[in-house]
Amino acid sequence: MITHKLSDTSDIQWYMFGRDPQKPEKIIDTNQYLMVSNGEALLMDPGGLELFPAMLAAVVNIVELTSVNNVFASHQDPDIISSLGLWDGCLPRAVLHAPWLWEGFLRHFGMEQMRYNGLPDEGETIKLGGRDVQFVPAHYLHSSGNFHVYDPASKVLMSGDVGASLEPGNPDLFVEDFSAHCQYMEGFHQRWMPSNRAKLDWIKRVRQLDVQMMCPQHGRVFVGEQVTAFLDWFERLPVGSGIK
Amino acid sequence: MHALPKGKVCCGHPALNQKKALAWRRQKVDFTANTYLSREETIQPTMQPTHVIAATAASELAKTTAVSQQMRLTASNARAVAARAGEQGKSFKAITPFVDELAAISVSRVAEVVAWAREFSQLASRYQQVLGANNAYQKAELLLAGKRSKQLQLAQEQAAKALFESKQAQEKKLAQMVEALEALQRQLRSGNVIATLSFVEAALMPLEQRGDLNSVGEMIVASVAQIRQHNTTALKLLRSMQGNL
Repeated sequence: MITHKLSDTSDIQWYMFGRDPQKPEKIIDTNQYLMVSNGEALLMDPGGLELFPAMLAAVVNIVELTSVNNVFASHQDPDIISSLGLWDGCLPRAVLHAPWLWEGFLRHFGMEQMRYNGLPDEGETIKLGGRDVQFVPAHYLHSSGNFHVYDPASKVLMSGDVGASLEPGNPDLFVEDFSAHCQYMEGFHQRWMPSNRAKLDWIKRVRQLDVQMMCPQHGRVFVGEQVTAFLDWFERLPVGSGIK
Repeated sequence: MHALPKGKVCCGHPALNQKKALAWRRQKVDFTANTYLSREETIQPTMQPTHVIAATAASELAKTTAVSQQMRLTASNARAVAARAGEQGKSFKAITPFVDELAAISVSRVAEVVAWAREFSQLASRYQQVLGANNAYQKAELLLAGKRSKQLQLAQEQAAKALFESKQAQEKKLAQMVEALEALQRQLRSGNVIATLSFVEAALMPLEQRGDLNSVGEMIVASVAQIRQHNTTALKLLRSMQGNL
């Protein structure tokens, strides 16, 4: 599992985990994220069962597990959070922040010790190490109950499946040529994102935020002007292609 | 039945030729010869994971619930037949409490064992989950290459404890079920005796009343045979797990 420090200000660090060379071939590659704020950690979309050992080892290499008292699941998909039962075993005091809509479903992955904080549809802000962390609504992108994470201090947006790309081989961590990158995002967004209305609502919301780095759950990370380029591209893209 | 490719060894027995391998497989099929194994692909139950065998045994036992209820109806019918036969059915009437007792025992024992089997199946599935967690924590520890994490250690200890407790609970429940099923099998033997008594009493009755008494006996024989068949299959599956958990 590759660990990459994405952002490092005096009191907040962002880490990305992914491109695990041990990952079974037929499993989709995923990016996991960790935000550490003044010694307190938030683990975001920690991944599936298959990734758990590598993810746990990667996290422990950065922080003591006692610091990880917050876990976030953007939605209910197995590649996002099917490892929940295993994290529950080693983060007994942690809180899982996830859409209220999915509580009864997510508990199927096993959750005996952690506490579930059902995020309301309009979103929520929590304190992590004294700093604000916002859970931004992203409903129907692609899941009917869906959130992203925004850190206003670092200006990082963890954007779940929005901005995801399916690229063959072992792609780099960052988008280099945005135009060339679009081909790897187009099919994914057209098919996985069901609603143009939801898409426009999210774009409007995100345009009001100051985002310097946009971190999707699959594929490459967008930095600086690429974020705006992505929002413009996404705005033009018709989605919901499954309906013929 | 799928034949083994020529020259292919069978399950670690290199000396077995194809013919012997087929015979060996057939023997494994006979081990659980019943309807659910009519598809011969479902062979070698001893090689199945415990939670799968447990679920199969639970499903097999669940089939006996309806049959035991049927036995209760037979008991009611026996009382009605005895009442209709009047003075001539006095001897038959003396048999009906035994039919009642057999039906009551069957219904309660079957319900108890079916509930235990479901519980055991859940325990076995839970064991697989805990085993998975245990393995995942061990892999993580290896990846950490000696770096200690108290929390991980705690999680490992909890998983190991849960694994031990789960195994113990399974063993206990398994022994309980085997014992209960063996007891039920013994009790079911009395069903044949009661049925035989019904046939004897029927033979002593006027011709027009024999049919009713015979049908009571036939119903008992049929119900007992069905329950026994499912129990035998379940027992074999459960016994195959004893000492192998």
